[in-house]
Amino acid sequence: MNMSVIQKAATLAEAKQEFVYVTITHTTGSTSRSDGTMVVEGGGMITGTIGGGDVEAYAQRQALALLATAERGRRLRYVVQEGLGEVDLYLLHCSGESTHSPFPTLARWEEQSLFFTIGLQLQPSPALLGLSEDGSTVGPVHPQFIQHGSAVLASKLPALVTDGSFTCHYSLPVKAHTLLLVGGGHVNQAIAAIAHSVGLTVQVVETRDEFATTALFPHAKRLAVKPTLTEAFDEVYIDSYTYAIIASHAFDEEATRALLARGVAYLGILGSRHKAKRIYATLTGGESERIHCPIGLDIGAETPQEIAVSVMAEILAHINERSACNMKNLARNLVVVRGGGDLASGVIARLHHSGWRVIVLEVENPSVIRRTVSFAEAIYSGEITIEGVRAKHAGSVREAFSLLDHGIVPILVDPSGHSIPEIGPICVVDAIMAKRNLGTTIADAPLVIALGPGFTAPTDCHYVIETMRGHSLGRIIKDGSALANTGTPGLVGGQDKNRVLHSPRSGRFESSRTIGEMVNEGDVIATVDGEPIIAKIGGKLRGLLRSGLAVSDHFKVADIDPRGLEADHTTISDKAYAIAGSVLEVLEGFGRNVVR
Amino acid sequence: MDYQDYYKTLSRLIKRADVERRTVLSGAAIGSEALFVDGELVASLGAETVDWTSSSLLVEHLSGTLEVVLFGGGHVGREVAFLCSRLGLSHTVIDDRPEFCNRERFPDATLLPIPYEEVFSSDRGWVRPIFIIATRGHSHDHLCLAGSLAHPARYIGMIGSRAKVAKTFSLLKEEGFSDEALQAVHAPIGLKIGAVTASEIALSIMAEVVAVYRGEGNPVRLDQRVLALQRERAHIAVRVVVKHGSAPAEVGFTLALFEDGTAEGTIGGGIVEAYAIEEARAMARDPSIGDHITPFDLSHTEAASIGMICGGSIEVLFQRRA
Repeated sequence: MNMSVIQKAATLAEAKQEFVYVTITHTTGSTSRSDGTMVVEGGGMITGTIGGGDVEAYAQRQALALLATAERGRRLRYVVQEGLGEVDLYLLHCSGESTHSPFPTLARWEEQSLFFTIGLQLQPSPALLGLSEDGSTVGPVHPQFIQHGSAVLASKLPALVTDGSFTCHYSLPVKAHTLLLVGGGHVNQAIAAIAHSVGLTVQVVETRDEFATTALFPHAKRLAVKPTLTEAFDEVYIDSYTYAIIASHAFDEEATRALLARGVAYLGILGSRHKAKRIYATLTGGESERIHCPIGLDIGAETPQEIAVSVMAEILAHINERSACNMKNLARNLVVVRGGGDLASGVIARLHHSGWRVIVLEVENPSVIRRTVSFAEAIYSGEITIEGVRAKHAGSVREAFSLLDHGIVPILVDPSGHSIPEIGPICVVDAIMAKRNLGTTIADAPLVIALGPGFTAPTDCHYVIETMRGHSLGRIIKDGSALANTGTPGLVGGQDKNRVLHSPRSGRFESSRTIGEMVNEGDVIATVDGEPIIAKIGGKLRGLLRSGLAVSDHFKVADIDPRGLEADHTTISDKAYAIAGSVLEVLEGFGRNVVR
Repeated sequence: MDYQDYYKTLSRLIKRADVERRTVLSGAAIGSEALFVDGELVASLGAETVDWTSSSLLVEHLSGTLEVVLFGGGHVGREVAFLCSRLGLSHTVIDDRPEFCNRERFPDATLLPIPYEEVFSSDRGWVRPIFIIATRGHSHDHLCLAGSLAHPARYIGMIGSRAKVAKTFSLLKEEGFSDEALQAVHAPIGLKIGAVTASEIALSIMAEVVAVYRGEGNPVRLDQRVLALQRERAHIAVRVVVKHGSAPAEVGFTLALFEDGTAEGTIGGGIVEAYAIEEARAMARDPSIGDHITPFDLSHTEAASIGMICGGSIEVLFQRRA
């Protein structure tokens, strides 16, 4: 419905008017979007968007300032409110033949829905270049540009490429994904209009002339009418990025098979559950994976327009590999666990298995000893899987959310919890197990749960969970604190304090042993600055601090399980699971009242 | 209760919540009706003694018409309005910048180019609208969200990054809004479809909005305009109370014929509506005609002969409101 950025730029270029072509080249942190282009004219008029709001106003001011100079371009960095994110922008001053001339060609490519990339060359000198899927080019192109541009077209992903002195931002103005509408009825007409508004190329195939007219489909790239649908498919472009929708009363098995054979990414068939049953019965498992019938998201759509919204939302979700869940509920389903040690990991795994989305906050150098069952280990190794739960180190909150979308538990370095407001969880679980409060407050989230001693409910948190082995383990405390730390580990296999080894002095911890190894009483387990740490009992080495870490005097560095081989060092402990169960009980009870 | 008070009560009630209407369709008390909220009788019109629990009554869930109130006429606002138009939803656009709140940008909208501070300072006549907050700045979002939270609403959604949303929520919490109220706000807004551009974001929002209003079941959506006239002026109320088969009308469709001969509202249009208006006029002229039901057959013979494509039949209740 709006004039595209490229069409606007082409119009201005043909009228030999000066303007600024603004492109987002890179973003970090929390920004409203990670790509976008716009055109700013002399009067300040904007076409297109780089995300609206303050960043756009800033770019507009800078663009107007640039127009008053003879500079050819400007690289700028905009810092989003209070440093939450950064947006790198490039402003290209379009004022003469070299910068004006590519736009009319680009606009023609766009109109023809040709798949192409625009190269905004930042280095060695500012330039605007184009490369289309059919190999044609525009602007002062060179082999390096074409080489990287071809790769971008093949991957169908925009990119910022640096190669020696060459730096170029490649954008893809036309979506790689296209829509093929089979049948020209009301629903497909409504779908075509919305598809066009979100920038998808539309093609229509029909067997009846009167249902495939430009009046009904003003934005369609191609209208193909043939006596049979399968013949009509030869007249349109179909590849593995094609989203096809069959909207006709009768189920056309032949058309369905023809489209599947051509490798479409998605085949939506309009129809009832009853119809779906019949269709699936005719197809093999592999074929039916790509079939979507009934079509669309379950939003209760009834009118053709509502169906179009539901279908296009489903298609975008499919293209972007998103869940199509309600964003609000996803956000309300979010729990932050502070700490990634063995007890915390029990909580993390159990919440994850129950469908909660968990983000873990850890310190920069976690000093957990039960490393095989601690998600904190991902800070060092990048990734760890415990009992089927995969966790990965996330570099930013944004990355953390992207990992969540892929079912991976993100581990963020954030010792003070300063990212909690940005994450906005419904619940914070303090599972640091420091035996004191390192900064969790009851205001951190609607529900705050703390594990072990050092917290008082309802002052520091809403609930405390007892972590001491024994009769009270896992108790939910609404008013008061957990039992004070006795300094003596709980009894396991007839042993208590001798199970756990501490550093004899401060210094650098080194060990050549591995977790899971059997050791005997008297064995040297590790050294701290060369001073040996001797096993006080025999058994299985269940926990061992990572080598190379600096430790203080009397720091817990290892534990030995006297039960020996029957002790399992690869799975979450009974104690961790008991505590996790209590966290889940509190959370589920709370969640029922708040998350609908 | 007289009809004016009754319709005033109805107008007031549906601004806050859904209302149940029970109507007598047979016997001496035909045409009598009553309003219930949470199972409690709130108002009634017609016969004094009616068994409102009788299973023969028509029970309807009444709600207001759907309307979207959109804060912010920027890129996203424009795309949201585009989809509202396509979905046939009436919408109001508010922006303090007239260049972002004009007919050219919003061909079908009610325009309110005023400062955000002034929006809630007077009654805009909104009946539990769908509030969508997409202003250009943080402070406006905060202002509009606070106002929306204090107003009865079907849906409140606010655009913004996680960080922005979290900040706005913590400010509102400090101002005394409860966690429960804030948890009900759709923020982050929309469905998770990977939306990036304004039009994609609008699609993600409107898919959620459709899910919300379709999730209400199928209430009778009363037109506030007709209701306002009904509470002011004597009229014959013409209501569809039964529908069989395929007909271009739904139970609850209402038309009001006033003393000056003008009619507001619709029972589905076409020849049937013309006949019904004729009948209402006759009833207005002749005070001896009481409340009654007339069936209209749209099928086969009659419908076919007058060129109507829909079959089915409807029954229409005529009620004197004077």
